[in-house]
Parts: sequence; structure tokens; C-alpha cells
Amino acid sequence: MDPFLQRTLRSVLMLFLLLISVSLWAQNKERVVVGDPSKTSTGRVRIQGQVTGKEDGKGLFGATVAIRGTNIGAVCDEKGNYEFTIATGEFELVVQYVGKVNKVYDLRVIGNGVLNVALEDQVVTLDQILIEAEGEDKNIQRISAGVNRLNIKEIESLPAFMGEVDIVKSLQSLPGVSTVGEGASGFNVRGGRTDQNLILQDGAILFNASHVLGFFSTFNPDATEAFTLFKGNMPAQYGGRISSVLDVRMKEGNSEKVKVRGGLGLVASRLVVDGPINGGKTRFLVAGRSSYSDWVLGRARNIDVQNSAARFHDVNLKLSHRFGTKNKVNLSYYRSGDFFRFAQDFGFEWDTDILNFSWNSSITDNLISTTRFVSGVYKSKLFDPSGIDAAEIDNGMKYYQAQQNFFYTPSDRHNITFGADLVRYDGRPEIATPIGPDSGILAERVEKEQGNEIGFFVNDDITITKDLAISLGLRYSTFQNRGPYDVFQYADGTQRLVENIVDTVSYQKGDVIANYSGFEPRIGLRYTIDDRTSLKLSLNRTRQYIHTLSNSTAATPTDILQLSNTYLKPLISNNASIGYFKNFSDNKWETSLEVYLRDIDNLLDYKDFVDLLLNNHLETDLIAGKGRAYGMELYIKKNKGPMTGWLSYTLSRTEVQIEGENPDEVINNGEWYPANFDRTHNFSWVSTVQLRGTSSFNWNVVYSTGRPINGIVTNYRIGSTVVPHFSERNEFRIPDYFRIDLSFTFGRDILKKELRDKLEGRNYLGTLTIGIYNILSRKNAFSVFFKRPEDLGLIPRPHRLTVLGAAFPNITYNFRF
Amino acid sequence: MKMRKTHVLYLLSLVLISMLFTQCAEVIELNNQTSGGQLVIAGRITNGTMGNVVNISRALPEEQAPELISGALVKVIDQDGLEEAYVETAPGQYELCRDVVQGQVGGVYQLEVQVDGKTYTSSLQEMMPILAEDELRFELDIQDNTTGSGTATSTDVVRIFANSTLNSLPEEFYIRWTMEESYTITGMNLPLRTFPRYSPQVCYIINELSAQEIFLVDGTEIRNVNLNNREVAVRPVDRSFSTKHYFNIIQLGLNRESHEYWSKLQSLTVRQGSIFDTPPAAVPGNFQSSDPSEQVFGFFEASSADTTRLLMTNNDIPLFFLDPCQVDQETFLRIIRVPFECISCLIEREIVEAECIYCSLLPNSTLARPSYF
Repeated sequence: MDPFLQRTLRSVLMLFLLLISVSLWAQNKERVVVGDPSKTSTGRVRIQGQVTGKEDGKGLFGATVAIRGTNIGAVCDEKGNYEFTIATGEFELVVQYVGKVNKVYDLRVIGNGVLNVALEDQVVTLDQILIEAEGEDKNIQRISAGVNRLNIKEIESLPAFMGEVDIVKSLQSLPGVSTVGEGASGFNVRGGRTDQNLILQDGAILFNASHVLGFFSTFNPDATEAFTLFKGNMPAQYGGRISSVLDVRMKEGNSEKVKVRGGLGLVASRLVVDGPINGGKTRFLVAGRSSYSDWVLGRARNIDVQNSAARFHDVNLKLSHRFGTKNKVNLSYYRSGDFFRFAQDFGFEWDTDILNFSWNSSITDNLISTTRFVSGVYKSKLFDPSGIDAAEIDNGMKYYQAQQNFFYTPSDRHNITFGADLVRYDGRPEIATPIGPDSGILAERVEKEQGNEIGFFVNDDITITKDLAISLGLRYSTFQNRGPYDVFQYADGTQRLVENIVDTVSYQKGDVIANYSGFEPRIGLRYTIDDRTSLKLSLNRTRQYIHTLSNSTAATPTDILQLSNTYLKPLISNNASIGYFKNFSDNKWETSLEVYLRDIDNLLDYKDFVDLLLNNHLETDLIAGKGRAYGMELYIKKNKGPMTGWLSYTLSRTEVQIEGENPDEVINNGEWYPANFDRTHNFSWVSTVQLRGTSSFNWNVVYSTGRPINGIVTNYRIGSTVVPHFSERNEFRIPDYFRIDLSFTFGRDILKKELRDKLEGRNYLGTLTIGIYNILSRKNAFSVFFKRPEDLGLIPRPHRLTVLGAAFPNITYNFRF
Repeated sequence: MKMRKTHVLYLLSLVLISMLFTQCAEVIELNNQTSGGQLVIAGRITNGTMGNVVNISRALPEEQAPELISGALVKVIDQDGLEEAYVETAPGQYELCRDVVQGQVGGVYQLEVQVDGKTYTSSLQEMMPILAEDELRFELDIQDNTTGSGTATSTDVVRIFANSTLNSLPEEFYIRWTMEESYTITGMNLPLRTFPRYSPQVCYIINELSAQEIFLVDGTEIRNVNLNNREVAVRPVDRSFSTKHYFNIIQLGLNRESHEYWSKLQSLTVRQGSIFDTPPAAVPGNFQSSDPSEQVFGFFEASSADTTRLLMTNNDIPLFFLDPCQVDQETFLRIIRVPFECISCLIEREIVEAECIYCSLLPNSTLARPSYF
């Protein structure tokens, strides 16, 4: 075919697709010229205007007007007025307001000018607003590789366990993200352990984002605005964890009127009320969730499960107030609580309380400041209510955060972020308290250290040419482990064993016990091959000064939070990834292929049979080694059309090497061995078929290779006791995991026309979701353990431990008005 | 219409993929590359006449009984350099006569074993004292069980509970208890006319109970003087209760090393499989082989020992037991028709079970009468 004809046809086709996509998205994208063409200016010019509601013509207080891909923009005042300065040129302008349809302009700025915008009411559900101020080709244009963003609509469409929409569960459908299994807290990103993820809720650290041992996450979906997972290049303002950052932004109250939304489910219900106070200058949000899941356990066949209990609650309170158009403060309080008891054998309780204050200030048109103070406490308790060892053990962490971020945009080629942050950790002592008069347990207390982690950072996203952009970041972090604390001294040249302790050095409050610091460079590079294709490279180093010690199959709420100290060095990870990103059919299809490599120093593993509870000499039981992870991630996402969703596949390997100086400090002869969450293949297919209006059919297909475990290689007898002899560490694998979930969401559209017409115009909107989790009732193994068979045979046999071995139907009614 | 067709295709593909994966589900057997052949030495020296035994075997691949090692040279050495050899009393079982070395609290002992030209040496073990006084009691109960197929069954059982009182509370002490039962089984009676010189065997069965449940106390954690109401055995009621039936609890004073060993075994044997389990691992013993590359299992411990007994008789069990060796009229006629005094004919012709005549064939049976019977 003639190349000219080919190009012409392609252009016509693209234009056609563009028109279709524009109509599908109902998102107006107009071309606008600002300024007088007869008086073309150079340098910076001023753009001003008013954003109003199309229906009532009233100014929209709090509407945002932003230049896509930059920090340039403004927030509208009480009358909906805005103004900002910008260099002349061509940009994409996004105008957003909660409850209104976004408006996007192809903006050509040639001089000072006025642009008034009228936004239409959102005719579909509120959550269907795309939160991100990014274009449809965001995956191509974003500088960093390894960034995943999902909006609430995408999460809500996923079939969910017991109908509870879950951010963390939805993350696990993304490439490079996996979990140990159902019932395991946390998630693993690119070969990182669960404690290597920085989880932020409105900038505040969360140590445990799990309810009911990981079946649900602590984020109330109705109170969540959007979240971003950085699994590759973390911008320099994020620090303290080596693997990933999950940055969750919670909603602010509505500025126009009081709104109510919620959901009634089989095991939990939630309610969110938000709205304006004081004419919209102040906004509030109150959100709560509570479970009543004990009845589900009561229906189990197993008597122990029948006598078990599991419940949770969480509360989000948020007040936002604007001072003029340039200052905004937020004050929020978050609390979550969990209780889990297995029969009369043991149980857990864990709680999080966070008070969070932030102040956003637009100092100049191109300099924005964000200041944040956080006070948080995470408490956990393990209890054993019966027998001679009846006792409860408390531990946890108190922490304080202070953060100052500046966003500076000196030109349209630079987006600079700089500032500093401080986290102070006050480890709560581990306290064992006997329960009841028959308990023989000795009351005990193990003190924990304090620590100050300080980071200074600067990050510049530089657009070098139209095709080439680079993100250069540098973070300098320093950590001080502080007293009061007693540090054991071991005889020179001897192994760190309790019997080799020769002295104890007592540090008083504030004394520096150990000091660590280092630079963390962060580099991201994007080369745009064409409008639909880009190549990205990320190189970065991350450091982590806090460890979660857990010597069980999965992370549990009572895992010990341990700061880096004299003997436990900080984790240092060097991360590299390269990705190829390509979109098709006018961004209808997003695809990416990323390859990553990571090596970790000072990775901790455990000696065999270590008991970490109430252990004041952890250094004798932990061994430091190396970790490495490498893999390939494939992601195909369909954004438009009656069917949307994504398919992700990860091929990966995560390994550990422990080769200490002494025999019990060597694992698997010093060879590399797979980490216990290593999964070679991880596949996920998430899809939604839009039926009519708000009705949809959704499914979720998950497959992954079984994770490694220690298996029995032979048995022997000591007297009459049959002793299983276990393999080297993680030599075996449990069976592969496979699950399918389905759900239907029914909106008003399924009602008879007469009823629909009757409801037309009413503010109330309800949807009913009916779903089945694990529709194949597959007994997926969480783990395989070895015990004697029920017929009293003596040889231990492998038994599958299935946490959710049946199909779990659910029904949830969601409403808003 | 087009939309509906698309939906149908999506649903169809989903169902097909589901079926494809379902077919390869339900795999539980692990790719178990079993191995064996390692030497296992389990030995003890006590401060009494009981329990001075060393068992030597070789681990065999899964589901095969261990190979008992005969002809090994086994000796114990005390802190004064005195040595005494253990004498082989049964295949793979060696016993100390206590002629030269007699275990004493505070003494330090080491075991040396020679098998197939290699020498295996244990670590030095100090014998710790007995600290508690034990007491046993029983309760009759009905235990409900559910079989794998979901059928509910109930069994009459005897539950044995232990109360222990610590006489002193040293800063560091460790105790292990083992449970055993002993009872008599008598060979069946045969008609005097055909077997005039036959005298039924009287056998003593000594079974270790709750062998997979290792009862330990770590005195650095538990500081109660009274350790009460610990269930130490659950025994189904059967014919063994028709005569004297002893339950014996044996208290062993451990040192720190042997406590660590047993607590590691305990963590492997009692695990029920929960997401909170510590990952299992191989348990290192305290023997070193002269061949450094050789792996050897087992433990030699020096433990003071004390036994407390509970006697139960058929008066305690309000149940009637059928004698499995009782014969009916037809069998009786077959018995008296065999050649005169030909006991082996009864077994060869499968008229009676061999164990009914020779109770010494029963597992853990001995003809030697324990002193307490």
C-alpha cells in the first residue's frame, strides 16, 4: 500500500477511534486558545477564570484547575474563581470537581487570558470519576516504571471476599504483587517481604493494614479516594521501606451538601457521612465499618471453628478547612480494632490509632508547601486463655511523624519536590501477664528501644526533550537507635550465644546506641518512542531501619517490630527495572512488559526453632544474609468498551542466602534458597462486563505456583516417638493456587421501566452485588503441614491447610444519597 | 444483539478455562524425595535401675520400619573416666548393668558408640535432680469422634490427669514427663485332656503412652509450685482393664541442652498445622560421627528419674469385656481333635490366633514380672 495512503487511513482511523472514545468517556476535550492572538506574549502569563456548575451557575468552591503532568494549577475560592501563572505553550488542562464530570482542554497559551468553565453534574455514580489528573496515556507518559494506580471504580468492580471491597486484595491482582495466601496479612512486592512495604494512609504510616488476619484490609473503600503503588522507582520523598510504597489518599468531605453512602453485607457493614459546614469552607467526613462475622464461624462443622470469634471495626474522622484560596488544613483521626480467638486455645487483638494533621499552602503560583504531623500507636496482644501457660503478651509501637514537603515548578520542564521528614519510633515493651490463678507463667517485661529516622530529599522530574524525561532524586536518611536499653556484649571472637554474654551496657534515655545513615539515589528515565510507546528505566537504592520479626508461616498481628540496633543492621536494597510500555487503539489497550532485579543486604532470617516472643537477645537467634529477586511482569489492560479489566502475569524468583561463620548460622549450606513467599508464576485476570447502566458482571481468575516449604524426607524413632526429619529450608512446594470469583452488580437499570421512571430524578441510588468467592470450591493450600493421620498411624503425612476451602457466596447492598 | 453475543463468548471462555484448571486440582502429595540410612542413637542414663537403655537403629525411607542395629559397641564414660559397656538385650537395644558406672545427680556422662567402624560420641551430659512430686488421677469419659467420612462415633475412654508439686524453685530447671501403662495378658486356657502339660503364659505389656505428646516444663518461664490437672493420657477402654492396669508417669530431670532437644521434637510432633506455626526443621542431636560428613540423629541424656503409678482394676470400669480369645462350641471341638499336645497345630490350622496362646508375641510384651506387680 502506498505509504501516504497508509498514513492517511491510519490518521482517519485514529480520529474515528478518538471520537468514539471521547463519546464513550463522556469527557469533553476541547481545544482552547488563551490570550489575544494579536498580542502574543513570551515568558509567563496569567490565566484566570471561574468554575461553575452548569446546572445552577454557582461557583464551585474547591474545584481544581491543573495543567496535566505538572504541579501548576489552582484551587477555586468560594465563588469558584481561580488564577495561576504559566509559561506560554501548549498544555492539557484538567478541571475537576467532586460530583461533576471532569473537563479536559487542549490548551494553547499565548498570553494573559480568561477561561471560564461550567461543569456538568456527574450522571453516573460518584465513584466513577477518574481521580487521577493524568491522561489516558498515563502509563506511557509517566516517567517512572513500576507504578500502578487504580481508582475506586476499578476496585469496586472486583468480586470481593464476603462482598467487602478491598484495596489490598485488588493490589494482589497487579503484576509483581503477591501474597502468601488467604489469611495472611500484607502483600509481597517484587520479592519484598510484607514488612518492606511502606503503607501510608493520608501520609501516615500504617503498621498493619489488615483486618481479620488479612481477609480484609483496613481501608474503608467508601472513604478512600485513590491509591498509588510504587513498586519500582519510588520518588525520593518516600523512604523507610525498601520494597514498595502504597500511598492511599482518603476522601475529604463534600463541599456542597451532606451525602450519605454505605453498604450492608453479610459479615460487615459500613457508613460514610460527609458534607459542608460553614458554607463549605469547612468539610467533614465520618466513616465507620463494623463486622458481625461470628455467625459465619458458628456454622462451621469443626467445633473449634464454631467456638472461635473474629471481628473488626474501623473509624475515619476527617475535618478539612480552607483559609482563602491558598491554604487548607486537614485534621483526621483513624482507629481500627480487631479481635480474633481460635476456640479456647489462643487469640489476637490488635489496634491502630492515628491522629493526623496536615497543612497545604500555595506560597506562590509555583511553590506549594505541605506540612504534616502524625501521632500513631499500634498495639497488639497475643493471648492464651487456658492451661498452666495462660497468659497474654502485649507489644507494639508508638510513633510520631513530622514532614515538610515543597513542590516547586520553576518552569514547565521541572517539577521539583524537596523537603525533610522525621519518624520517631517508641517501641512498646513486650509484657507477659499471667491469666487466672492456675497460670504458671512468670510476669515478664522485655524493653524495646527508641529510634529517630530523619530523611532529607530532593527530586526533580525534568522534561529534557519532548521524548526524553528523567526523574532525578536523592534522599539522605539517617537513623539513631536510642535508649533506654540494655545491650548485651559477647566475648570477643565468639559466636553470639546467650552463654557467651560477658557484659551488659546500659544506655539511658536519649543515649545513642547505634547510628546509621546513607544516600539513596533514585533515578527514573523515560524515552517516548512514539505517542503510544515508551521505554523506561529505573535505578534506585532504598534503606530500611525497622524490621518485622515473624517466624511463622505468615505474618501475624503480633509480629515483633524491631528497630535496627547494634547487631541488626539496616536493610539496603538496590533496585533496577526496565520496562516497555505500549498502548493500542487510542489507549483502549494498555500493555507493558517490565523486567526487574533487586539485591538486598542485611536481610534477616531465623535460626531453626527460634522463639521470638519475650526474647531480649534476638541477635542470638537472627542471622543476616543476602536477598535477591528478579522477574518479568506482563500487564495487559483494557480501558474502554463493554468489557474492561486487566490481565497480569509475573514470572519471578526470590531467593535468600545465609552463610554465617558458625554452623548454626548457615542455612542450606550457604546456597541460595527460595524465600517462603516465592512464586514462580503468578497470573491474574480481572474483568468487568458492563451490562446496562450501573449493572455489571465481574470475574477474577487467579493462579500461582505453590510457595516453598520444608518437607519431610524421612522419619525415625526416639523411643516410641516418631520424629519427622525435615528437608533443608524451602526445598518443597505446596500445590499450586487457583481460584475464580464471580459477582453481579445490579443497579436501578434492572427494574421495570415504570419503577425506573418513578425513581428517576431521585437522589437515592442503590446497587445490589451478589457474588461467589472461590466458585470452584477449590481447597487451595495455604500451607502443607505434617501430622499423624486421624487413624492413629505414626508416620506424619502431608496435610493441606486450607483457609477458605469452600465457595463463599455474598450479597451486599450499597447505597448513597 | 452484538453485545449479548460478546457476553456469551466471554462467559463461555471463562467456563472453559475453569474446567481446564479444575481437572488438575486436588493435588496434595508432595514430590517427596525420601531418603534414609542415617544412624539413630537414642540413649539415657538415669540414677536408678530403670531406663538405662540405648536404642540404635537406622532410619529407612518413609513407611518402612527402622533397621535395628545389632553388634554395636556401646559404652558410657563418667566424669572420672570410668567406663561401662551397655549389653545388648534385644536386637538394637542395649542396657546398662550399672556394675561400674551408676548415674548420680550432678554426674557428667558421655556415650560412645561404635558401628561399622565409625565412632559416634555424644556431648557431655550433666544429670539434674528431680524436683516435683507427681500424682495421677483418672476420669471415665465418652469421647466423640468424627471419621473422615463425617460419621460420628463415640468411645469409652479413661482420661489420666497429673498433678505435680514442685518442692523447690531453682532459677533454672527443666522437667519432662513420659507416660506408660502396664497390664497383664494371660494366654488362653486349653482343655487339659488334650494339653495336660500346657500352662498359660502370663505376659506383662508395657506401652509408652502419648509418645507424640512430649510433656515439658521450662522452669525459667513457669514458676508455679503446683502444676495441676494436666491431661497426660487418653486411653480407650478395652479388655486390658479387666485385670490390674497401671498408669505410670515418669518424671525426668533435664538439663538445658536436653530440654532444648525435646522442645524441638515437641514443636514437630504436636503441631496441628496452623498459619502461626513456626516453620519445621531438622532437629540436630548431640552425637558427632568420626566421619564429619555423616549425619547422625538422636540424643543421649543423663536424667534422674522418678515414677509414680496409678492402679486401676475392673472395679473402676463398670463395663464388661469380651475375651477375644474366647472360643465357641465349634472351635472347642476343633481344638480337642488336634493331635495330642500339638499346640502348633492349633496355630497352623488357624483354629486360634498365635497371640492367644503365646501372649509374648504381642507388641511390648515381656514375661518378666515388673517389681510393682
